[in-house]
Amino acid sequence: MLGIGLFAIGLCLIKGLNQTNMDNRFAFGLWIFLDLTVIALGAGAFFTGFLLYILRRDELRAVINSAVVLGFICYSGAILVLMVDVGQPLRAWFTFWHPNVHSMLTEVTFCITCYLAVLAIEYAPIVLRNRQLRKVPSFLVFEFELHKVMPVLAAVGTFLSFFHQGSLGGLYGVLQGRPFAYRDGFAIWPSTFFLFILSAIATGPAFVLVTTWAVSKISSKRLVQPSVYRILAMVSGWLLVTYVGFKGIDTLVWLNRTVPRTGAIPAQFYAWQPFGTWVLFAEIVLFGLVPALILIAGARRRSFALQLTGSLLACAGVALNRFVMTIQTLAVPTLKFEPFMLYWPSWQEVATFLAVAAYGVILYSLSFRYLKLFPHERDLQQY
Amino acid sequence: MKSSANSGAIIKRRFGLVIDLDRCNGCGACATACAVENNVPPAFPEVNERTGLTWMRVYRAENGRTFPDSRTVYFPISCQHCGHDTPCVSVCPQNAVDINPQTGVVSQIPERCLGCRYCMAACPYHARYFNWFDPTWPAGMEKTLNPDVSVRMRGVVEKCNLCHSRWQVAKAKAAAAGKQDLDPADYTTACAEACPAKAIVLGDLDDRNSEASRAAKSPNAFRLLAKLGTDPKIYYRSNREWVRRLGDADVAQIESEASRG
Amino acid sequence: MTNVTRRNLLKLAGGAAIGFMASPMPWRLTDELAIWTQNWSWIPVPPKGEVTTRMTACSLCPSGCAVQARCIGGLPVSLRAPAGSAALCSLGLTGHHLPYHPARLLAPVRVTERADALHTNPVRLGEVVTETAAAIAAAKAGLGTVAVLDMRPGRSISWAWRSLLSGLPGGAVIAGPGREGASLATLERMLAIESGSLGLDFEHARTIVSFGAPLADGWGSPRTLQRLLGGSRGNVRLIHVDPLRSPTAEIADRWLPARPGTEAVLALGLAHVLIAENLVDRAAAAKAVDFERYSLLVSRVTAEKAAAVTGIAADAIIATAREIARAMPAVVLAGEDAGGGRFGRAAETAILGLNLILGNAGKGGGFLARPDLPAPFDSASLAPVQDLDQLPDRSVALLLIDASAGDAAFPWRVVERKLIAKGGLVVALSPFFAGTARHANLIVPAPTFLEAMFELPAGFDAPAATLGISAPLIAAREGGADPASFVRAVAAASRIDLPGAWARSEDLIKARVARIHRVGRGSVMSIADGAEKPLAAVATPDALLEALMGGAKWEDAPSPSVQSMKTMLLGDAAGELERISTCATAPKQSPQYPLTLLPRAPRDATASAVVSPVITKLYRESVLRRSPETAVLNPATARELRLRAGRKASLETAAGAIGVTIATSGSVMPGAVEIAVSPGAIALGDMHTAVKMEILEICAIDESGGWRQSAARLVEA
Ligand SMILES: Nc1nc2c(c(=O)[nH]1)N[C@H]1C(S)=C(S)[C@@H](COP(=O)(O)OP(=O)(O)OC[C@H]3O[C@@H](n4cnc5c(=O)[nH]c(N)nc54)[C@H](O)[C@@H]3O)O[C@H]1N2
Ligand SMILES: Nc1nc2c(c(=O)[nH]1)N[C@H]1C(S)=C(S)[C@@H](COP(=O)(O)OP(=O)(O)OC[C@H]3O[C@@H](n4cnc5c(=O)[nH]c(N)nc54)[C@H](O)[C@@H]3O)O[C@H]1N2
Ligand code: SF4
Ligand code: SF4
Ligand code: SF4
Ligand code: SF4
Ligand code: SF4
Ligand SMILES: [Mo]
Repeated sequence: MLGIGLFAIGLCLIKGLNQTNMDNRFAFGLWIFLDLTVIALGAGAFFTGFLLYILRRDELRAVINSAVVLGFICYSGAILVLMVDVGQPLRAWFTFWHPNVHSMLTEVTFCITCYLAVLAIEYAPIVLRNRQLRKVPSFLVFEFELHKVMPVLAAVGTFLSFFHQGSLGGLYGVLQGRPFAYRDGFAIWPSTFFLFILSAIATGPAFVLVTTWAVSKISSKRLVQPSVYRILAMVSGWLLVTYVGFKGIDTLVWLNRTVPRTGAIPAQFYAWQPFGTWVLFAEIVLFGLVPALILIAGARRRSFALQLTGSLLACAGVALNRFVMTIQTLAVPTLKFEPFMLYWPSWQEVATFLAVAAYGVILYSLSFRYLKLFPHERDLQQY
Repeated sequence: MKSSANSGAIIKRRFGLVIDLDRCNGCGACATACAVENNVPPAFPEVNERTGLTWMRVYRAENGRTFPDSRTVYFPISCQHCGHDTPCVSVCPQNAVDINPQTGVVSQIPERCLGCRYCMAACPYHARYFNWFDPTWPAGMEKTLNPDVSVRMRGVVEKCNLCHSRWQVAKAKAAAAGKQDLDPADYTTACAEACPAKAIVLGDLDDRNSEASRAAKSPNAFRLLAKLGTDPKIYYRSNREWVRRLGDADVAQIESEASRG
Repeated sequence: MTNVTRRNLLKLAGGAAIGFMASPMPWRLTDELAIWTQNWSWIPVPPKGEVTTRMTACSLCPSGCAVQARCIGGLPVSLRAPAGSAALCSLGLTGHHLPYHPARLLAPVRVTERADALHTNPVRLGEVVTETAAAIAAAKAGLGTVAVLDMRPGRSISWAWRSLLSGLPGGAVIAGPGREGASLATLERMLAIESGSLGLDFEHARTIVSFGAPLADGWGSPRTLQRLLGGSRGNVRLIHVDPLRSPTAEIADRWLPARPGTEAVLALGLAHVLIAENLVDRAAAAKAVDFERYSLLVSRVTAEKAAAVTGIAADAIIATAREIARAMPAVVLAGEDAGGGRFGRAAETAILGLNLILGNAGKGGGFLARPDLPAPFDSASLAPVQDLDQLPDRSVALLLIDASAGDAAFPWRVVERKLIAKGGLVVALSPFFAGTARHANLIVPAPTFLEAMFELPAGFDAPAATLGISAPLIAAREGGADPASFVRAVAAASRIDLPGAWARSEDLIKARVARIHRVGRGSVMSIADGAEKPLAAVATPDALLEALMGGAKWEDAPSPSVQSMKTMLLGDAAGELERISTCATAPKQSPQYPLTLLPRAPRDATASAVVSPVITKLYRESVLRRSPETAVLNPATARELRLRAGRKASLETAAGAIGVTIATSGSVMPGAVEIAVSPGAIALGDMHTAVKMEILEICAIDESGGWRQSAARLVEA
C-alpha cells in the first residue's frame, strides 16, 4: 500500500496534477476533504492536552501520549498530502515570505506549521522515555526540562489549534463568491470559524476513544480504565450538543439572511442529486444530535457499546461536514447557466491518501511497540 | 523594476469590458484570439472542458423553453476583474494575485503562485484556470508565440489579465512620445479586436466619454451575479429580459447606478 | 585529540544541523529551487526579434479575408484583420500555426493500410510522377477516365489541371462536393448561362431568404454576417429555414423550422402564394420556357398542403411570401452546409426557382453574372468543370485531388463510388496527412498558407470577379513540392504539351495578373489606406502584382445583368418535382430508423483539413462547439428514448454506426439528431489518437449525391 501510494505521489509530483481527477471546478477534491477531516480528528491531541494540563483532568494522562502521537500523525500526514496537492510545492515557503495577512490560508499555514512543531516537541519526551534512550543522561535532563514546560506548550498548542481549526472553517466561510459556503460572522471571522473549532474539539476526544479501543482490541490488552473512556465520551457528547445547537442557529441565519442577500436561492443548493436536503438532516441530526445523545447516555449508563457507537457516528459526522464544505460547495453552480458537476477521485488520489494512512498506522505501531503510549497499560494487565 | 516603470504619473483608470449579448453569435473568435495573444497552450487529448485553459470562455445558454420556442444566448466570460473585496485577491496566501491600482485590472503573478487553487474555489465566475499539464506546443509552433507574454508553467493558476502586455505596449508608446497617458486607440484587447460582431468593447468605465462607460450605463446593462457584491468591471447588456435574468442581474442595483451615474 | 564518543558524534550532528540552518545554504537552496520551477527547460520560450507588420490575405477559405500579420524577426506571431476590413474567423486567426501542424507532410508519401490504421511511407517525388503517368497511360489504354477533384476551383492552377486533362479520356475537373456556393451551378443551369458564373449581390439585397444557409456559421463572405450582426443592419431582413434553432435562426427576423427534407415543398408553397397573389415579376417569369408547367405544378401545393408537409403554419407561409414580395430585391439561397452539404437537386431547383419568378436573377440585390477571371495563358481546349454527380459511377481510373489550397467535408463514399473497382490510383496534393488526402494512395506535400503565394479568386457571393493574393510570410519548408511543378512533371512524363511558358505556381499567378492588367478593367482596392484606384492607373503588371501581394484586391467593373432569354424553372428536376407536388405528405419515418440525423458544421471547422491545435479552446476545452462524438437531441426525444444527457450511445444508420455521447438542447427539432462535423483528433493535432469512424461515413447518400439527412436510430451503449 505504501509502495503503490509512493508511486502515485511520484506520478503527481513528476507528471503534475493531471494525474488526479480534480479539475477547474473541483479545484479541491478528495485530498482537501480528507485533510480537513484528519485535522479535525487530530484535534484530539490538543484538546486532551488542554483538558489535562490546563483544566487538570489528570485521568486523561492515560491517553495523552497516544493522543499526541495521533495528532502528530494526523497533522504531518495532512501536510504531506498538501505538499502533493499544491501545484508548486517548492514555492510553498513564499507564503512566509510574501504573506497575505488577509488570507485564511495564510493563517492556516502559519498555525499548522507552528502547531506541528509543538506536536513534535510534545512527541519528543514520549520518544525520550524509551528505555534505550533513557541511558543517555543528557536526554534525561532534556526530558525533565521539557516536562516543566509542557503546560506552556499545551497552552500554545491549544491556542494555535483553536486558531487554525477556526481558520480552516474560515477558509470556506469567507468565500463571498460561493453563497453555499459563505457565512456571516463576528468581527473578521465567519461563523464557520467557530463551528469548525467546536466540531473539532467535540470529535477529537471521540476519535481518541475510538483509536484507544481499536488498539486495545488489536493488541488484546487493556490500556485504560473504563472511567477514561467515560470522560472522553462525556466531554465529546456535551460539546457535540453545543455544536449542534450553534450549527442549527447558524443554518437558520444562513438560509434566511445570508443566502438571500447574495441573490441565491437556498432551495437551489439542494436541488442537485445526490446532494438533497437529506445532507443537511444527516449533518445536523443523524451524525450530530444523535451521536451527542448516545455519547451522553453511554457515559451516564456506563455502556461502552453506546460510547463507541456515539464516537463512531461523531467522527463520521465531522467527516460529512468537511465533505459538504469542500465538495458540495464546489459542486453547486454559481452561474445560472452552468451545469452541476460531480467528481470521482482517481486511483492516484486514493493511493496517495492510503499511503499516508499506512504511514500513520506504521508510525503509530512503532510508537506503540517501542514507546510508552499508555502509561497505565502495565498496571492494567494484572487484572 | 517593472513596477517602477509602471508607476509614472499616470491618470488612474478603471478598465472594463462591455459585452453586447444581443450581438454575440457564439463564433468563438474571441476565445481563439485570446489564446493566440496570451500564449495559452492547446489541449492534450486527455484534456476536457473541465481541465482546459480558456481565459475567455463562451458559454451557451438556453431560455429553458422547448422547440420551437427555445432561444439561445452566448455568454463570453473572462475574468470579471472584481473591484470590491476581490475574492481571488483576498484569499491568495502569498499575494500572487493583485489589483493594479492604475488600471483596476486584477492580475495573476504566475511566478509566485503556489498552485493551491484556493482562488479558484473563491471565484464565482470560474474565470481561473489551473495548469494541470505542462504547456506544450507542437514542434516549431513556439515560433508563433507572442514575445510580450511569458509562458506559464505547470502547477500554477492563470486567467485573463485584460491583455496586460498590450496595455504595457500602449503605455510605452505614450511614454516614448512624452505623454502622460496612453491613447485609448492604442489599447484594445485581443478579444474585442477579434469579435466580428463588435460585441465586446474595452474602455475606461470612469471616463464619461468612453463608449464603454456609456454602454455600461445603458438601461439594459448588467453584471453577472451582481448581488454577490464583487463589483465586476465586465458589463453585459441585452434587451432580452430572460437573458438578463440568466445573468442574475440585480435590477435594483442597475437602476440605482443609472440614477447615480 | 578528543575521544570519539557517541555523545560527541551526536553533538557534532546537532551542531552541524544548527550550523547548516544558520548558514545561507538552505535559504539559497530553496530560493534556487523556486526559481528553477519558473525556468523549466521544457517550457517553450517565445521568439525574440524586431517587430514588424506585414500584409497578406487568408487563403484558408474562399472568402480570402485581408490579413495584417504581426511578425517577430519576420515570422508571424498573430494575425488580425486590418482596420476597416472584415474580422477573421477562428481558422484565420490561427492560420500561422498551420505550417507547424503535426499532420504536416514534408515529403511525398505512400499511404498504406495496416490493422485498421493508415500509415505513410516516404517516397521520392519522381516515383509519384512516374506512377501517375503510368495511370494516365492505363486510362488511355481503356482502364477508365481521369478526373481532378479541385477543392478551390477558379484558380490558375485549376486552369492548368483543365489543360492537362483536356486530351485525356473523360477528363473532367470536379468541383469539391458540398462546397459553399455549389448550388449556384444549379441556378446557372436554370438560367442557361454559357460562360462566366453567377455572383451574389448581398450588399443591395433587402431580403435574404436562406434555406439552410448557415450565414452565422461562416457562409459567404464574413462581411455579410458582420452586416447582419453589426449595428449597420439597416432594413435588410433575414428569413431562415432550418430544422434547428441554429445561430443563423437566432439572428433571423423570421425563422421557419420546416421538417428536414420538406424544403422543396415549402419553396413550392411559397411560389404558390406568390403566383396566386400576383406577387411575381411577370416579365421575368415569362422567360421561363416551362412556366406553364411550373404554374400548374405549383398550383397543387397550396399553403395548407405545404403546411401539412413542412410543419410550418399556412398563415406563416402566406405571410412570408408577402413579406418577401414587399421587401425587394430579395435573394433566395439554397445554402450548402459545411457539414451537411447540399440540398438535393429537386429542392435546389424548387428553392432557387423563387429567384426566377421574383425576377432576382440579373438584378442588383440578387444574382449577377460574372465573367470568369482571364486564364493565365491561351489554350485550344480545356476539360470541363462538373459536379460530381455528373460522372458515371465506377468510371474513374485516376483521380487527382487538389487539396493544396483547402479542403471540404464530405462522405468519401460519394467519391469512392466513382472510382473503378480495381487498379485505380488516387493521388492527392495536400500539405497535410489529413482530410480528403487520407483517402489517396500517394500524397504530394503542397505548401500551406503563408508558405507560398496563393491565389484568391472571388468567393461565390461577390457580385463581381475579384482577385487577391495571399503573399508568403514564411520560407517554404524543406521537402515541400509546388503543385504547378507537379502538373508540369506529370505532363512531361505523359508527353502532354501544356500551353504557356510556366514552371511554378507563381508563374501562373503572375501570368494571370499580367492578363488582368492587359484587360485594364476594374479597380484596385488598397487595404492599407482603403483607397480605390482604377486599374488603368496602375502602370505595370509588376506594380499590380506588388499591390496585390501587399493585400490589395483587384475588383472587376460592375457586372452586366444576366441576359438569359430562355430560363428553366424545373429543368432536370421536373420529374421529381412533379412527384413531390402530387403526392406530398409529411415525411414518414421508418420504424427501424425513427430519427433524422442532421450533420452540421461551421465553415471554419471544415474549410481546412486541419485546424490549429489551439482550436481545442472551442471544441475540447469548452463545449461552445460540439465535438464530433456528441449527438444533440431535443430533451423530449431523449426522454422518449430513455437517453439521458452524458450517456454513451451508438448512433446507427443503414450505412454503419458510431459511438456518441448524448447531449440535449431545446434548439433541436424533436425527432432530429444534430451532430457536428468538426475537427477530429488528427485535425486538432493528436497524431497518436486512434482514428475513429467519422460521422459522414454513416450518412445516407441520396440520388443527387447529397448527405444532408439520414434515417437513424440511437441505441444506448
Ligand atoms: N519572450 C520574452 N520573454 C521574456 C523576456 C523577453 O524579452 N522576451 N524578458 C525576460 C525578462 S528580462 C523579464 S524581467 C521577464 C519579465 O516577465 P514577467 O515578470 O512575467 O513580466 P510581466 O508579464 O511584464 O509582469 C509580471 C506580472 O506582474 C503583474 N503586474 C503588473 N503590475 C503589477 C504591480 O503593480 N504589482 C504586482 N504585484 N504585479 C504587477 C502583471 O500582471 C504580470 O502578471 O520576462 C522574461 N521573459
Ligand atoms: N517598454 C518596455 N521596456 C522595457 C521592459 C518592458 O517590459 N517594456 N522591460 C525592461 C526590462 S525588465 C529589461 S531586463 C530590459 C531589457 O532590455 P535589454 O537589456 O535591452 O534587453 P534585450 O532586448 O534582450 O537586448 C539585449 C541585447 O544583447 C544582445 N546579446 C544577446 N546575447 C549577447 C551576448 O552574449 N553578448 C553581447 N554582448 N550581447 C548579447 C542581444 O542581441 C540584444 O541586442 O528592458 C526593460 N525595458
Ligand atoms: S472574476 Fe474571479 S478571478 Fe476575476 S477578479 Fe473576480 S474573483 Fe478574481
Ligand atoms: S493558486 Fe496561486 S494565485 Fe491561487 S490562491 Fe493559491 S497561490 Fe494564490
Ligand atoms: S481581455 Fe485579453 S486576456 Fe482577457 S479575455 Fe480578452 S483577450 Fe483574453
Ligand atoms: S467573438 Fe464576438 S460574436 Fe464571437 S463569441 Fe466572442 S463575443 Fe461572441
Ligand atoms: S478562413 Fe475564410 S473567413 Fe476565416 S479568416 Fe480565412 S478567409 Fe476569412
Ligand atoms: Mo528584466
